[in-house]
Amino acid sequence: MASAKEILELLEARRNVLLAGPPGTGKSMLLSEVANLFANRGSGSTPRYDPDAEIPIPPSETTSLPGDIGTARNRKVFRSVLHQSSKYRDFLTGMMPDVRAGKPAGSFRITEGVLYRASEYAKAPDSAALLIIDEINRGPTVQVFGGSIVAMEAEKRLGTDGNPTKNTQYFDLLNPDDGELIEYAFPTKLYILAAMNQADVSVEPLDVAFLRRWAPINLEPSVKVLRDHFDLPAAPSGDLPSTPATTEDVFEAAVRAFEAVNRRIALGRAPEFRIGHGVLMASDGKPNSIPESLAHFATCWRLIKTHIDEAFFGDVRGMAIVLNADQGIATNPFSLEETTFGDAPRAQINGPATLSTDVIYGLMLALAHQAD
Amino acid sequence: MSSSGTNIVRVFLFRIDDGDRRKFIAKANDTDSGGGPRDLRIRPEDEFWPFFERLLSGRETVSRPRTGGTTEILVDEIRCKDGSGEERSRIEIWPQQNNRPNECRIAKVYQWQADHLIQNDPNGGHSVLMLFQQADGIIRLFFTTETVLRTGKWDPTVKAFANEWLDKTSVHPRPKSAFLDLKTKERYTGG
Repeated sequence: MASAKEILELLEARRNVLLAGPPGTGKSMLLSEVANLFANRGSGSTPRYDPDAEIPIPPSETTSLPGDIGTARNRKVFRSVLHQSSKYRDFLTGMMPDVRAGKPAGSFRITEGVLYRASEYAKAPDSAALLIIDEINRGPTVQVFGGSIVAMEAEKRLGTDGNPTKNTQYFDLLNPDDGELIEYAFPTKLYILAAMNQADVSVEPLDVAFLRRWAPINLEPSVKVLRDHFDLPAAPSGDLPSTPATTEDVFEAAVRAFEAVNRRIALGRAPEFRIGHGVLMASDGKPNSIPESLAHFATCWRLIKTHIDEAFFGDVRGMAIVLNADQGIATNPFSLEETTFGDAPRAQINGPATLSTDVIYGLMLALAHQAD
Repeated sequence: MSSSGTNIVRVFLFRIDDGDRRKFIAKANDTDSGGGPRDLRIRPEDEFWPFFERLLSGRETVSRPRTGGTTEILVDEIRCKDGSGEERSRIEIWPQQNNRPNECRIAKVYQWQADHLIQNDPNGGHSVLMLFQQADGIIRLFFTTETVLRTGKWDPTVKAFANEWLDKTSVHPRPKSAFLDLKTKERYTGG
């Protein structure tokens, strides 16, 4: 998995970086870590124990930030989330009604969107700005960026001295100062880090011309992260008991089910629809007892079941295969029933409306089962 | 991922007054520090108990010696560097008793046999007990002083938290304890 430092190095090299991965693969965590490193002059934000130091929780070692990021004396992080109603004026500039106090009815003003503000900040001497855009594919992305798409590219920015180079690309922009259309270019110390889950497309898929302006980093669901988190052996060995004897049995069943379900989702729908490992990880360590573990995983698998329902909506047989409901496994609370609607054959999945702790271990054993 | 077992998730600070020192050798019932000869008193319980529930993973039902009833206490293991070695001890935290409302106790601290580790502040400041928890759940015990907390090379988050608490220890109501939970973003430095 990419580290925050690696992402900063890629940002320095390419200026625009796009994190892509299923939900629960650590995108949001990485965004936060990169933001903290960027804003805090490279100091890690998480206190750490150093057993060899006289002070047991010393300042984290300063990370030397790469290139232009490291040389900027002033650094600021800007954040935004794209959504269905996002507009060009929210990111760059544009006209909007001015309803602020004291303004006469019918007044308009020119907005200063988050990308414009970040760009202006980065244009100041000794300054660098990082714009973080989460859920970048959840809105009308190409329209939101408009003509600035080409100007985003690293080699088409202004030079390090703020002057245009032979490659600098300009686009038209409504100037907030006077309302005139001006030619505008992005500064070189403007960094854009975006994240998306390719399976979440609310308005339209991102087009290829837009995507090639970004250096991609793909985050994958990781069984290893789960095995490390739950202190499980690196690889599964042997069969699991029909009822859990230890918390490790529950953890192992959950991880095996996770791996098997993700494999079937990738085949039946697409790899982008898999579930990230973070979905199974407790926010505060790991459960301490079998009842706690069952309760924890019942909550997790309710979430995963909802995801499967959504990903396979209208595809009963696909959902049945993912849930192993067609395998006749005794411990599986879900089963596929072949029936008819008039003369037409139909299939339906029978099972509990919500997953309880009573059925969760049996379900995980059934999900982990590999069809012959 | 940057997460690791050495990341710190929780910090607890306790000002060790003279009466408290004797609790580390079970001889403190002659002072106004209270809590019997063996226990460090933590107030207010309604602030600290939820934090302690996150800090300590174990639970035990024990009998109340005075009332004859039972109560659930929090238990865990703490580790403390002593010279070149590392000692492991049991920590117990008891909820309030009827006669001491809104006060919980770190009990039987004499069993830690750590009185010789308590640090004297060379500038007349407070002696301080620190518990901190790693992301993997390990709890460590450390003794320090006000001067070291104020001037030592600490992580800036921990230092700012400690200084905020130390600044309040000189004015009423002089909070004896403070906590910082980096997971839940909660902190208590004296209200």
